[in-house]
Amino acid sequence: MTYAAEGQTNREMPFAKMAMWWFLASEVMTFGGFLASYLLFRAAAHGAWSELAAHLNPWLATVNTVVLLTSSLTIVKAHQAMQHDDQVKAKKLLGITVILGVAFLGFKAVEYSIELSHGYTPLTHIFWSFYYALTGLHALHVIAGIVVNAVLFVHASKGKLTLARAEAAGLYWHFVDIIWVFLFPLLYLSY
Amino acid sequence: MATESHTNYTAVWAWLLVLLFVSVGAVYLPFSGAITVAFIFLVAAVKAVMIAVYFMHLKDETQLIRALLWVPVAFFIIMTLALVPDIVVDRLGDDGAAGTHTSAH
Amino acid sequence: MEHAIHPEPTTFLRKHVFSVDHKVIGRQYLILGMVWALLGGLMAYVVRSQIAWPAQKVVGASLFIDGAAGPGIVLPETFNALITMHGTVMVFFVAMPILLGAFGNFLVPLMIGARDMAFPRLNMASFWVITTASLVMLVSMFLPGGPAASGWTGYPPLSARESYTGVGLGQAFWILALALEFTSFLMGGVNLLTTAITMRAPGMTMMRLPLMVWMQMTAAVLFMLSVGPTIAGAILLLLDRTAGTSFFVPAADGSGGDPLLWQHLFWFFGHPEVYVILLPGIGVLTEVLPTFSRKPIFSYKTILWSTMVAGVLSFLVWAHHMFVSGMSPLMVMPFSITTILISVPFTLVIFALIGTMIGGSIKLTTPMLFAVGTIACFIVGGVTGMFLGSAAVDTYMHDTYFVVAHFHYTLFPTVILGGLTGFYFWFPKMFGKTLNRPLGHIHFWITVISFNVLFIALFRVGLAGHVRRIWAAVTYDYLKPFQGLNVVATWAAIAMLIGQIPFIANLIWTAFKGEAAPSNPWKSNSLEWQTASPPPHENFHEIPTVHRGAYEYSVPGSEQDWIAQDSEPSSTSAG
Repeated sequence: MTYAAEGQTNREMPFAKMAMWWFLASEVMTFGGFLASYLLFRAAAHGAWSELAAHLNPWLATVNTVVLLTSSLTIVKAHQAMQHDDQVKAKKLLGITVILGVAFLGFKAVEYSIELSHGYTPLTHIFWSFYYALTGLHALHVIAGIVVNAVLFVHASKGKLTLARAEAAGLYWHFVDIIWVFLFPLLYLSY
Repeated sequence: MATESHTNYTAVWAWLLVLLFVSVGAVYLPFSGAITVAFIFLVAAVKAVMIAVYFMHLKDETQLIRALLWVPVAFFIIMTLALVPDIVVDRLGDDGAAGTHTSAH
Repeated sequence: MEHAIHPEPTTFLRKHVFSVDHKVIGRQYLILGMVWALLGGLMAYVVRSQIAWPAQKVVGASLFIDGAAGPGIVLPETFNALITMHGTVMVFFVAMPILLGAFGNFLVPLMIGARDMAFPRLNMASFWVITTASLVMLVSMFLPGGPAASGWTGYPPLSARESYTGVGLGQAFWILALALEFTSFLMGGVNLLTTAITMRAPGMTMMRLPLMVWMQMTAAVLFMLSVGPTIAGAILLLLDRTAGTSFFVPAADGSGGDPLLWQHLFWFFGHPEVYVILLPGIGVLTEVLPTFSRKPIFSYKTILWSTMVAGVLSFLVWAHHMFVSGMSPLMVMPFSITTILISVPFTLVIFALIGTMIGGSIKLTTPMLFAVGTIACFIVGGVTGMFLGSAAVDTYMHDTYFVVAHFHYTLFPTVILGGLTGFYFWFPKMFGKTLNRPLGHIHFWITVISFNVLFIALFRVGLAGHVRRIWAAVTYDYLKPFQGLNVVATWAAIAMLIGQIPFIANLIWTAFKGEAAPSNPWKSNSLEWQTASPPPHENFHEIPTVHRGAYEYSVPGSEQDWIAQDSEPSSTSAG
């Protein structure tokens, strides 16, 4: 039973969307704090971190960026399908989004194993501590998003997905994408 | 609530990919490190704004919702800038008891 | 337009334990906060006892403290743990649960004319998350090595390595408990903001809202926008402790981390956090003072806009906690200026609150006594903040008991006196009974007098150079002449603890013999008073329609000296 999703008194906005935006605002500050720490330390190193960053694999990360950007496309199209109450199409698009999300994690896992096998652990240098912490935190957010999207996939397969939830989940997923859009150049391309 | 949005999402996605390859390619251009980094960061910002405006429908949203994005970003910028004199600037000089991160590891 | 309301629960568990009803959840937060207040107060008692009578057995503490020096004797390591836990507990498990969790949850839906919060199940989840956080914090006290002992501010490198304090998992559990607490209030904040923006009753425009609702909203916004960097820092600190990274631990060759980064990340949140706590306390006053002065609030808009300005400024003052930390001198002057500036909007608010009382028909009920006490004591805190905001003075005062007295003169009035104001005011509404008045007055006088004796003494010893977080002042010759004041302060603290007995007695007496409370014992205007005490499950039999603001007291020409917000419009309505 949904408790309060049935209608508003003063505003046209669904609760879920409003709540999600407030949550995302706080997430901007959390990732912002992380990113600021990384940026400041890196700037303080006056270029010394570039040779460390050179050990990262920008091509694998580029593939991952394409994967994540595409998953943002599929989820916003799922939202568009829900605007026509097309549960079947929304379900397919959510399914693809989930698969793309898992693919992202798969490539990330491959990347981690390559780096670890070369001996670059979180303790090797503070650059690597940041790299694993930043991408790790992002990955945790991706996992949470995959779980939510999978749950909504199940809802849609029963014809019970709501527009509000599709939109809220989409907003979260786009946010996760935006974080990666910044992480990618700051970690992989800045040398 | 089911207002149709007329954005061509696929077109936005295509442009995002174009910008991605621009930023990857920028590394190979003959500009100095600092300029390249600034350029790449700018491209990232443009991509983020496009995702926010088109995919997250910010272009159709109220002032309040837009504020929920730009106010935290503004605070993030202020906070980072305020910390530069402390964390980035090497204040103690190269006398052995140096400030943080002055030597390459 | 009506909302679907969750059905009325039937089982005991659903009614009182796992409830989605904001009224029940509000009461649960209140009880959690009050239990922790007792624990936090007892910790303070042990601390004060140790300072007054160093290395002697603390009366009553033998059961809990039994270390290398024998039962009841506080060792320096134990002292560090006590002051750390006292601060942590009071800020995160007393102030926030009572002012935001209890008052916010219980009052906001009622005040806006809604049947519950926007997300009742999320609300229940947020309470259970903070309960989990409380358990984690409690468990941390019994782990080998004891609880966190780095100060509530957790500065590295001390907090970053087990070898520096001897504290093991206790510190990690401390971080975890705080992370859970932050999560709880982030969930609550999202809920509160969504509720207040989207679920107001017909006619309840934003400018007709009781100021308490604005204060809760602003506090939620401040919390949500400021806590992020500290969460980032906490994750980094946890990694430093458990994974051996060095984000905050410097290395001899300059390749390690920077302890100052933690201070910045912490105080970026830490400063707005004290306003997160302060604003609901002011919100209590904005409801209580007009009611017991039978006068409208003095300039609703001044209070509202000053609060907004102060809210924005609160993000720009954080480094005043770091004037002597070794941070860049370039930052000292700008932050000193912003700190002094922020006193302006708060002064306007205080003047408006006082202006509300001037010329009013004052009713000295128990909540009114506490309200006046809150303002009087808070002013001392605010003024002494000006001294500390001036970086030159702070160079001497930082980390002395002057600072301790300053922040107790802001936090104690806000949280304890303000919290008690709200407790006595809304008790009839929340619990449906009337508290005993003489006991309430006795509680007030003992509390407020002992508080002032205690902390004025601490201002003096702070000025003399008694620094914070030291186990005994008598170790230093220059502080020996001031030991007498320290003893006086401790006796005042003991008196304050004893002074809570009338309060506990009042609660017990009322539980068994208290008269049933009418729906509007104080003849107050806001919507929560226009329904039964306690309100029915669905809050209102019919959603009210609001025709006026919340402060129409003693309107010229009207029959009564109060007009409820949902009273029919008439020629006397101010709109």
